[in-house]
Amino acid sequence: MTRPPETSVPLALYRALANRHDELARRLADHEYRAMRDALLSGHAFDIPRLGTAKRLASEMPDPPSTQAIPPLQVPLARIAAHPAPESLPCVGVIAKNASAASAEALLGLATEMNRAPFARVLFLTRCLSLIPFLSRYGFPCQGVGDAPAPEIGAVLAPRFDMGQIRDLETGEILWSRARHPA
Amino acid sequence: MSNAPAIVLLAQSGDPAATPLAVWLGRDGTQVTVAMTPDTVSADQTVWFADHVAFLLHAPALANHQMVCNLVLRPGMDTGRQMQGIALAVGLAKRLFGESVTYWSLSVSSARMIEATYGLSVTALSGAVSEAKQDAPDLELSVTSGLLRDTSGSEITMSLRAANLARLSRRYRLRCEDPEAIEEHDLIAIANSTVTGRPDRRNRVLFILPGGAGLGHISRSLAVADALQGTACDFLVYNDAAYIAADAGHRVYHRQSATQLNVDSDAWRQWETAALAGYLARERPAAVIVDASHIDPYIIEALAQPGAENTQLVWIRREMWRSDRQAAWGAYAAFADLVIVPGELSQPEPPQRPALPPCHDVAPIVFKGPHPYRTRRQLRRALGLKRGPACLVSLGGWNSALPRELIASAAEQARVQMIWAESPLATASAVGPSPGATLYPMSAYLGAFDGVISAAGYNSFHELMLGFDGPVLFLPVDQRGLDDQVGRAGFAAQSGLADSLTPETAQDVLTRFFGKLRTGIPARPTNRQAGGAVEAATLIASRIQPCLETPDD
Repeated sequence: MTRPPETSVPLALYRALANRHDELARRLADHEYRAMRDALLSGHAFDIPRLGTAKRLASEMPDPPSTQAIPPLQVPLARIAAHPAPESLPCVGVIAKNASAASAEALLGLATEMNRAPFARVLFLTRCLSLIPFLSRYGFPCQGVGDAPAPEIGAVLAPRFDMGQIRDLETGEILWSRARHPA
Repeated sequence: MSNAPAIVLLAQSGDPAATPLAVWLGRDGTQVTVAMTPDTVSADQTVWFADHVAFLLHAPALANHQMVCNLVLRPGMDTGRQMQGIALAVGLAKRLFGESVTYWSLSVSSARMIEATYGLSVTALSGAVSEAKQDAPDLELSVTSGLLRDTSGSEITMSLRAANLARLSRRYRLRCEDPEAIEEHDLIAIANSTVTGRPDRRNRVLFILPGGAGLGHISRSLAVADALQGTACDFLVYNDAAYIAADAGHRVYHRQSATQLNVDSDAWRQWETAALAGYLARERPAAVIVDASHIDPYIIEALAQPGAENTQLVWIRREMWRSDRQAAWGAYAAFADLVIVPGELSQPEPPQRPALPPCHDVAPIVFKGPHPYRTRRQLRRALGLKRGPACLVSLGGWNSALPRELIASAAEQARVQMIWAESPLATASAVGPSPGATLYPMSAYLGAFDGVISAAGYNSFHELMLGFDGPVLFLPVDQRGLDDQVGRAGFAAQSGLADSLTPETAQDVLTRFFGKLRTGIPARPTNRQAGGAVEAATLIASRIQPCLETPDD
């Protein structure tokens, strides 16, 4: 008569590994957050070489996607935050207008809150392409949206990213929400 | 206010007749969209069904619409069984829509066959197949195999599924040898009937640049865009350096790749196909220009949609990839109207290539960019350099700390000032010892330096070998899946054009390099021209210019 397989040891090991994974994820998020915080406080976070001043606002929204049903894309949580189930967090669009000191300050506030207690998977909707290298460095998904108004952005990007609302980075104001503008 | 298209063409996914049929229906400027489901069909739209299967699938959902039903019957789709399918569809049409049904066929011969079999009144959408373009290459269709074959010499095979027959009919003489191949002849008839429409192609091109950490693709594309004078250039950039193209004055669409977003690549491709297809239909660019190691399938799919039939596909693909990446490019090239290969100094003779459509070698392509400073003195002052020799270090993807310490130590011993160039996309952890500077493009700043230590990527290699006469030391980045920097650096070392550093020879090579730097003696002639951008632009313009002239109606 064969003995049933011994499963208690592997389960305990898996739990320990999972706990260790969560701990490491937390540590990594804290490390990334501190790097982002220090960069924002330096006053030079958005410094990049420019060929000149952009002569037009960057990028314009594409046409709405086809009527074909395409599954939404689940964007990731930024690397400055750790969460056991990031896919359970809603996707929120945040419009970042420019690479100013005010934007840096608002970004620091948002990053601090996200690191402390992640509340959403943030998708940055940038009106200024020069912000993208910095945001991307810390794992924030982003897309250039030019000067398209928020309702237009919401209509196009909400199905693609399962995005529930769009807020302004500096004021926090809700500029569009799926509840108010159902498809 | 509705912006919905006037005509909705309901078709099965992958139906090769959908695009040419949509083009034909929209030939007078009517807006047409191809849909796979009737979900968004509205009462004010005219509905067409591309074949009887699409009708059987979707017509019941539209039974309550007050509409005239347009049903295209295609007897060639598996004759025998298909004719029973057509009978079913005709019966259902009468039951659902009564007399408000119009029957169409793609060709005169199919119309006669259906009329003879069912006694229906059928109108052929196309006339007799127009006389072939005598000097155009042949493209053989086979619905059975799902392939198109260029039989005029190159033996290129492409998938019928991903082809835009309306677009291909402008370049090829579509044909089918088998007189019994009814569906093939129907497809040829409808595709050829779209050729006489107005080109409606605008003097605008779209550059598509892949994701990745480097600046090579964007640099080469900006160089070509600069040379395309008089043509508006849009950029679709999956790279964090999208702002560079905007600073250069171009309209930029920024998006992120599936890898950057860490999302399902199949779903991502579907979204990108839809977005790009929407752009192509709205902007009608003369060409899509892709600078990449391969052509992503979503680009092929988007070019297969209605509205893209007048857009040429240009592929800029440099050589010197690792050998395991060489084999696949023949398959991608089959979809391109023009392949441009930027020159490689380290590869004087092009390697053996698979047979391709028009493929043109040009000189190396180097982006010079604006030069903000006119004199060496101004440059050095801007970089904070004191008197005495100075060396620029630009290590790109090299992320080992060891060479940096060796370099810094050797420079200190030689009493040479160092500027560590940081990529505009570098993370904070990747920067070298201070002082550092984010310099782009590198060529704009070379005049300030007496020597350069650099990775051997395409752009850096050619900027230095063609535009700098001081000593150069290459540290090739040898990573799987990237280009052959080791080969490039090795060529330069063997030719005496530059030195190349390996971990084994580091100390001796660095000592020798800094010794040369201090002498100030030119290390190589700079009489080789990097005119590849102008050559590439000339080739592109020659392809698109004739089709920008609108013929008289």
